[in-house]
Amino acid sequence: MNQAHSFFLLCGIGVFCFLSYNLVRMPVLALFAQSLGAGPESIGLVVSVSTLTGVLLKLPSGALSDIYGRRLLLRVGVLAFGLPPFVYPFVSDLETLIGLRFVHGLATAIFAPAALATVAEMYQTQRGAALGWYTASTQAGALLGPVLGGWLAYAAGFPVTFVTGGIFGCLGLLFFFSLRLNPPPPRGEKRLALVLADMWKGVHIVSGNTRVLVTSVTDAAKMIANGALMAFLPIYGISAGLNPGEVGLLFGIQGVTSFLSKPVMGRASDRFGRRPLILLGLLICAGSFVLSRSLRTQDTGSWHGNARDD
Amino acid sequence: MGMQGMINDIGHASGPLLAGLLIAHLSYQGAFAAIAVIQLVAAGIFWIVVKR
Repeated sequence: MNQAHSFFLLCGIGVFCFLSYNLVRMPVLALFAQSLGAGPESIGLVVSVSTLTGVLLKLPSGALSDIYGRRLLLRVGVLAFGLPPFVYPFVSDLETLIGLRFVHGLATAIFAPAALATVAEMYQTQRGAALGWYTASTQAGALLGPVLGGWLAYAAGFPVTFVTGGIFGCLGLLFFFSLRLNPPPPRGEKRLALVLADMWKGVHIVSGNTRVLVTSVTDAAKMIANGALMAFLPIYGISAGLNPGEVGLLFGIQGVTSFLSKPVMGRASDRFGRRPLILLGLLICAGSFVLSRSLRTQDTGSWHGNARDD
Repeated sequence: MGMQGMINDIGHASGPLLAGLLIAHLSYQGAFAAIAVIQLVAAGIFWIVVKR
């Protein structure tokens, strides 16, 4: 297997795994949690818990890779993409759903950094282009997921949607196990104390640089808005008269806009500087939330994931 | 970059939790207004602190 073939398979894994993950996550997850009786606080918890897995695991992922080896991390990550979606149809209470989301969150938390490191290692000379193609593949999957998930939930109900997510995840698994990689073996010399020391060093560097700290917190503020939309746009959209397929389309439009505008905005920030672009982004975000408030809504109750009957 | 990513993830994880609390105690309209205010405050602090 040559390098180009391995890279093609890795991009395929990116497409299928992120398609599977986002098909389950948006807009289906919030609607599914609501159908299990979750109120707003619980829906917020269900949606955020997989990101919390990322908070706990992404930072030490480099050190974990040193201890356990990248091959093992990739394997665990890809299994965490492919298998959990098949469990969702059997979930009937919120506690189990929260636990399942924590496990499913392992997928992106473990796989994403290990896969990026693998691509960077495969292409020493054309690293930027290779990382760009791989990231575009994962973004394509992440874009398609909500559109397909919303439509499937509307047309066929929750169980079919989750099983479809699992099938896409298994396609990623299939690609992964036909891939021949030679990642570096575990070095094994790092222990927990060194991992914590690395993390502490990162905290020290960021907190010691006001510009970096404030920029990071500004980015976090924008992500608060993103997270809020991910959790509550589905329910708000249904109360405004949309169906889950249409809500999924909204997420798709958001993703396409982001995907297409990134290169343009990158060039604009080179020309006009980063500050005006960051400010403009936050103002557009605030404006979107203000405009969303003016939608007419009605209490339609929860959407129970029954396939449409029209 | 790792620490920056972690701060980013903390924001992403706290968004649904904060919005859930706000919606439960206010309304969708109130929650959306509060999130808009957070963006404006972040924009103001960023503009003042991070000079050219």
